[in-house]
Amino acid sequence: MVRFTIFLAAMTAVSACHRASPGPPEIVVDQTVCSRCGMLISEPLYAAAYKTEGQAPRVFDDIGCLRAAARGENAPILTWFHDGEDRAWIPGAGTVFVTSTGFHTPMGGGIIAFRDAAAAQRSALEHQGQVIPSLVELLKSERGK
Amino acid sequence: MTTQRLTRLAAALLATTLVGLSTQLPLWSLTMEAPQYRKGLHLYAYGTHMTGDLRELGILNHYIGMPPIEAPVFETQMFPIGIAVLVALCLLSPAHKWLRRAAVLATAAVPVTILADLQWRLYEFGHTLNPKAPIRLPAFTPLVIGETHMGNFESTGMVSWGFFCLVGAALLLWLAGRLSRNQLRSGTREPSAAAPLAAMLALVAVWPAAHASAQPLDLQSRITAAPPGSTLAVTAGVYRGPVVIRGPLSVIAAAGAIIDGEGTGSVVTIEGDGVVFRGFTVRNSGRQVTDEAAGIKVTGNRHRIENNRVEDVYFGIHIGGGSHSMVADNVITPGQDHGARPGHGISAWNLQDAQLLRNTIADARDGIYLSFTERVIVAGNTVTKCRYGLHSMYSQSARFENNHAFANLLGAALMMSDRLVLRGNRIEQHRQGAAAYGVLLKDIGDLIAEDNQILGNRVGVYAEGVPSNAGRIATFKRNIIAGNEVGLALQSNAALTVTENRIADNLTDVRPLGNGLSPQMRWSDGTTGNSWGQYRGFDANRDGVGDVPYRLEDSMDALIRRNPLIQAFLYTPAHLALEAAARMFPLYRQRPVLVDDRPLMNVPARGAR
Repeated sequence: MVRFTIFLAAMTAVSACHRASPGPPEIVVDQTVCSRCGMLISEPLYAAAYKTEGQAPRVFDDIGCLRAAARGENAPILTWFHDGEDRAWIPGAGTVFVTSTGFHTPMGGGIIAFRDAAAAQRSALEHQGQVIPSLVELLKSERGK
Repeated sequence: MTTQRLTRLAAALLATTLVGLSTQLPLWSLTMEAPQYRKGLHLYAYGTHMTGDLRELGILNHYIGMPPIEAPVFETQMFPIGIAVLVALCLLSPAHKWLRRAAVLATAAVPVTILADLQWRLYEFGHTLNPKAPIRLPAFTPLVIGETHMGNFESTGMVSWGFFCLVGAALLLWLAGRLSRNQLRSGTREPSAAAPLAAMLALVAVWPAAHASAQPLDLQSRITAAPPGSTLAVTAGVYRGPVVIRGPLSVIAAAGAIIDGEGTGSVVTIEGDGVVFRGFTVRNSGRQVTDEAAGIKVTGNRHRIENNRVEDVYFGIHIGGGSHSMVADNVITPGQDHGARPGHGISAWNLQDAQLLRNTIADARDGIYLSFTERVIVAGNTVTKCRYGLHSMYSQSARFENNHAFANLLGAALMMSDRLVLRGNRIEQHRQGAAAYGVLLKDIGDLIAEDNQILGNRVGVYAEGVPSNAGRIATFKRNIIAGNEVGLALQSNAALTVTENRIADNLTDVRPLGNGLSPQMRWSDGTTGNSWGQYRGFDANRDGVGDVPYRLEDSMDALIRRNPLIQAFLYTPAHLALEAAARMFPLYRQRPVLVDDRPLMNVPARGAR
């Protein structure tokens, strides 16, 4: 019984490892190139990435670039952004976005991602921007200057 | 001169000094502490303005519905007048006892009035909260001296050095009067206990002055007081930033004048129209990306920013909006002290009809970055050790002329822009990183690129989506493209007209990318082609044009494109044998990469510097 329990636990662990979501790709500042516009990625705060099943991850220097590229995807995508407060990678699910003409991002997308909705609200107030509450809404939104 | 008279005179002069000093020092300060602000937020009130963490305080106030903190107009206008009256009274005080009494009373009344006024203003702040604010607080009164609790904030108000100077001046005049009277009563005219007391008072008076001299000097009050249209000459010294200059005003520095932003926000902000800002060293801005803190932040029109040094900042010079400004002859090194590339050297956003001339820029993200600009001239600048030397995004009618970009990650990136001119530039030695291009052209409308020298880059010119629309024309004329690993790397959607160029001594002169060169690529205009280093034709009629077309048949490059490792065989006997076989046996002959029907026999004249 003990052996069976250990076997079950081991199989569960292996299965969990197998199904674990892949992490965000590595971005080397001033060396990694945006998958859409070809510019070097120099400011991680604005950088984003997504991955589709069976494909290599695509990295972007501007959330606007990710939005444009993602609209052309038919398969589900797994996305990552950088948090506007601590700049760590955050998964796209649950992320809140702020768009403002005050954010002069590399390709003019003018979007920053936030893990915390209150922080997004504060940023929107500070920069006279608008809050986009989810990734789905972001992908529906139009490009701003 | 009698001892009494000397004492009164010395006291009057010291009191005048103290009154003068009070204009340069904060009169009152407020510190707010909360767990999320470990270093606290600070507010300093001077006679004519306020400094400190005004931006953060403004944001916090917004949440609780408090009006933004601004120096009150009436009080700041009255303060210089009050100081002038005090100075006059202090200087006249030795003349008559009633004048001395008036001086004592007035000098004592000013700090008391300031305290009372501040308390009234604080009361008003705490009792005019916007009821629609995101966070609602009951009305409260921050104390002008002492602690007040608001939410999780604890504010501490305290008088500061300027206030002590005014009180010290009143005390000094009063004591001098008392001493003179005692001396008269005792009938002595010889030195007495008054002398050591006067010396002690002098020490007390001089100490704040010595303390102040070690602190950064205040430039803002002088700028604020300067009449519109005047010229303010600034002597050498370290001045406290941030400084806001509203035009029209000329602020001209002597050698050695430094403005230090103390690591917060933009160091110098230029607003309005017609500011001339010349000759300063500007350093130590904030480094928040979204704040876009700059050494010099510019809005408005017709400014001239000249001959400054800008160092250790996020953006060097950031111009947001406006027109007809000139940024010339500045030396800009944003990241020099950090070994990293922070913001751009000169960043222009939404700018029209401006000139960026003869600036020297290093250690920035992009040397010169244009975004949503129109008719901006970028000329005579030198840019090195940046990410992109010159960078245009979404800009119209920009002219890049006679610039020198070398040893950046990329020389000139011209993207999503239209009606550009790239003329007479020297762009060289861009060989490191994933995008080591001399010139990157992407989605450009009309383009004139002529008389440039594009030398020693990994890729001299990379073009994609140029011109971006039918009916637009992108011409490459009289350029020297030499010594690069690849001279021109062209995507199949690049349709340039390339004439009168010297294309030589590149490992590969032209490399097609994607599906090969576009059929719309033009290598001659019907009468004139290009000068090719590898052309081996002849010119029997001596018209300067080769009698046989130039056919670029680069068998080796075709193999390298399929397998980059084959590059290791370049210029080996194997390479030479392959080239010879391709010439001699049509079986090995590749389809030509390009055909120039009118190849030039001589190197064309150029206008690049």
